[in-house]
Amino acid sequence: MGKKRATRRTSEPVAADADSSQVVIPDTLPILPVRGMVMLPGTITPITIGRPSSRKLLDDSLPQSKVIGVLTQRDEEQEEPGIEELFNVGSAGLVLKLVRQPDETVQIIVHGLRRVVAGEAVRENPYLVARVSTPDEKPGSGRGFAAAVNQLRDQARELIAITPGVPEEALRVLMNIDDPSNLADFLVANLNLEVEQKQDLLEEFDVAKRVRAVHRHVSTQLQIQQLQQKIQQDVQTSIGDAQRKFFLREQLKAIQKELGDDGEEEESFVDQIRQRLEEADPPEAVMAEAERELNRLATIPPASPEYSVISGYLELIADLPWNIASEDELDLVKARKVLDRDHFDLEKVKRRLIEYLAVRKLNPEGRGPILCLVGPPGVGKTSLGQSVADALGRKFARLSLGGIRDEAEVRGHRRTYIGAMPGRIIQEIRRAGTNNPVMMLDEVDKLGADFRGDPASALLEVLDPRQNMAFVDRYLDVPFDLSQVLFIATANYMGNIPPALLDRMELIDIPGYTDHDKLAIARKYLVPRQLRENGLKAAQCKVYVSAVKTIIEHYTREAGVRELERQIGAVCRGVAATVAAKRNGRAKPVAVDDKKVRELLGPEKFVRELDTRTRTPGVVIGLAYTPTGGDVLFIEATGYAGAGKVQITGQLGEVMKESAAAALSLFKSRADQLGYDAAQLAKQDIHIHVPAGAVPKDGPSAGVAMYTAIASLLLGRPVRQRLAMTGEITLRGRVLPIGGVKEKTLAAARAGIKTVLLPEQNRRDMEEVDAKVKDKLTFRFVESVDQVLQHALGVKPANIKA
Amino acid sequence: MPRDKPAAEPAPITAHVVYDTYATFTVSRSWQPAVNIYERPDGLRVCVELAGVDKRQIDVRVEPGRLTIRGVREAPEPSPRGAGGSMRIVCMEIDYGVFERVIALPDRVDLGGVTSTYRSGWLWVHLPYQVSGRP
Ligand SMILES: Nc1ncnc2c1ncn2[C@@H]1O[C@H](COP(=O)(O)OP(=O)(O)O)[C@@H](O)[C@H]1O
Ligand SMILES: [Mg+2]
Repeated sequence: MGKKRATRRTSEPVAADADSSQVVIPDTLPILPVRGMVMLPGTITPITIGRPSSRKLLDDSLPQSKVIGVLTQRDEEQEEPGIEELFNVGSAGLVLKLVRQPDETVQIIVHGLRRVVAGEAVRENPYLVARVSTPDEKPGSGRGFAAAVNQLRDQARELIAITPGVPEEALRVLMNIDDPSNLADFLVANLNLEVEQKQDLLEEFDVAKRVRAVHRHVSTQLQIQQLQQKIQQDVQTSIGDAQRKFFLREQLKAIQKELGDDGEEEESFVDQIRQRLEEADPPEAVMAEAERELNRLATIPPASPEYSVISGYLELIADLPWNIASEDELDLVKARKVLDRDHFDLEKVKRRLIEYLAVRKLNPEGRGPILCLVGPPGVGKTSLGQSVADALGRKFARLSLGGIRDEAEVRGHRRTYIGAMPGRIIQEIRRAGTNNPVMMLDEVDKLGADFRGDPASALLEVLDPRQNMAFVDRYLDVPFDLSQVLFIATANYMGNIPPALLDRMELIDIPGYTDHDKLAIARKYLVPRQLRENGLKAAQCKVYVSAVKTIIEHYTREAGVRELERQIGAVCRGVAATVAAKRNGRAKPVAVDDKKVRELLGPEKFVRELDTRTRTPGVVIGLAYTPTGGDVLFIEATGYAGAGKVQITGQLGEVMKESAAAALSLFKSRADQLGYDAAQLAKQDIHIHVPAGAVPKDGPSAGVAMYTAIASLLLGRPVRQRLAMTGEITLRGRVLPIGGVKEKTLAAARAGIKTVLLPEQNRRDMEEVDAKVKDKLTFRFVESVDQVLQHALGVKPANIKA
Repeated sequence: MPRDKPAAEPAPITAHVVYDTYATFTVSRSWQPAVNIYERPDGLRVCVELAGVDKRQIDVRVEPGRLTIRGVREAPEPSPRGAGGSMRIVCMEIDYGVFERVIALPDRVDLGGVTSTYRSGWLWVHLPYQVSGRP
């Protein structure tokens, strides 16, 4: 390369317009959810990425574009937040660097470009992609504004100077930022503020207001720093004194040790433990064991690992409630009141719980069965356990079996190795502080799914009244009496409870709520609670029935009320934000109606797919019975060139395959009567897609739907709108009954189905179907697949009587 | 302020952030190439590490008291197309985008005589001193 004359210029500020190649922000961006931080425009921020979905986002999108949306999640706990669980104002950021750690976490460095407002999600899986807009900021102007900016800069400079540990460059950057908006953002990024406070400032598009708000924070922090400095100076002298004494004492100790009279401190720890042990007053055998360990302790140097193992053990013995029990308040009327206070309806469940308590009252030593509450998530199983404890005046302990991997988690690890711990039962007892808490074995069915045998048998021992008065935790190694504990179990799905445990249990079903129930629960419990949790007073926020109805019908689809409560929470947070924003004005209450809900929650979650998807021949709405209640699902048949085979995609499993094969041969045998040329079939394969996760145990009940899907596809006739079906088929075309009618019809009603085809033999189950559901749905009972096609496709096979 | 020693202005904090955990701020969206500066009796030689940049994309400016080098470097990316449209980024350490580096110059530099060459990834800027005793 040849020589080149350098351009010669004299004026022009450097750095101000270095970004001549402005990064263009597209109108849809992949959205990276972050927690515990807020990214501000102009900042360069390292972000550590652990979530698989976020890694996927980077993998997929970075080769195309380095610009991503960075949005902070409202709830840090959320693992896979949806768009409405993120604050909708964030920053577009340019990914500058990316480094992977050996453990697959990814660290990226992102340059915040500008504020973006996220709109609807165009994709939620495998990561979020959303529409974004980039509204302009409202720049500040006027002399007052200029003065405010200068004041802010001055105070910030003071703050930087006085705060220990701030890099020197910060001052330089501060003085070099001309743009007031950038200045405010720079300070927001580096001030010690809560995430919510930073988010509020990010959301402020009015620069003058932002500058003022940041100024307030800077002043406060400056005051605090000044105060701290003063205190520091005041105590400087006395600290010096104390420190000297400390060193002298240490020296004295060292001298004592040289002289051979150490062990003073150890003795005092031993004494202390001994005293606590005496207070705990464990049974004699336990005390004897503890004595032995105490004596060993005295012979071991305190720095050895064994010392801490033994002292940990002794502390456990001293902490356990060997003799502490709470007094039962077995007042059945009061108990009922407590149950009613916390839970709506659930009449049958409550009555059974009261009965159970009554029997215990009459016969405290009796060996009743263990109650197990069975039902879909969010119907109140866990919280009922808490209520039972409250009603009895007992402590509540919850053992979540969902995450448990091996038996040692129930029964503990032997003390022979460092890091050994007691099992969860003993841990919970220690935490409860009484030996008769209500102990909830939450989600026992999850236990069976991970492993069988030993952990379940450990639990059996815990539950067995002949054994549990002397439960031996491997770590504790001495028996503990669990016979006074009141165990209550919960499960989502009876089918997965290990059989040996199932034998000991009495199941109480909680089937799931109708929309009507949910409305009542929301009004009485969920709305007031969420208002409270979000710091809203009745005078600030009025929630109308239409709002709750809209959330129930359009933003949730579940048997329980967990999602409902979360969505109500999201609405409340939204309202709280607006209330907070207008904190100066005497605001009138925010009215939350259906419109407000749509505004706050965005586009509805379950836009009725029903109508659009079933326009195509081959798509049928089936009803499934799942661990989480009932569900509607699309069964979809598609034809491909092939050789007359049928293939199942999505949900796999033998039962499914058999059903599909049966459905196809049934269709073949009727092709003639239906006016279909069976020869055509030999030229194509049919794929039947059943969504994964929908039907664990209940394969055969999709038979009718598969048959209809095949017929609809091959005859080229779409299924009637808003019609759902369930039923098993035989090779001769008869329709056999299925289970879960109550749950399935509930799901159908909830999804907006109008007509449901049920097997004739399920007519007897209609009693258990909820009256509200009956109002919404029309039922057609069918005995043969020909009737099914007549209802669903409007075709009547020739020479068959309808 | 007249100076008699060349000095690279300290890189703003953005240059050091790679593994830091606090947010830093940069007004411009640029990164800073590394430089070596050599002084000889007849002038300064500044070498700027700028691999992979089209020489036309480098703007070298001198003005009294400072030398400014700026430009744009595209991220060096293979086309994803060859791989059936799929590629992921495993590691991305190389700076890209707009870069800018400002170097303070002593007054002795003869602004009219500054030249630059680019070879094998280095940008060399030659800044001769004024011949002393010149009329
Ligand atoms: N019938 C009800 N009345 C009042 N609140 C309820 C009712 N059912 C459930 N909830 C509330 O719904 C939430 C989820 O309940 P939870 O006990 O966690 O359900 P589960 O353990 O069955 O999954 C809790 O806040 C609970 O108080
Ligand atoms: Mg639960």
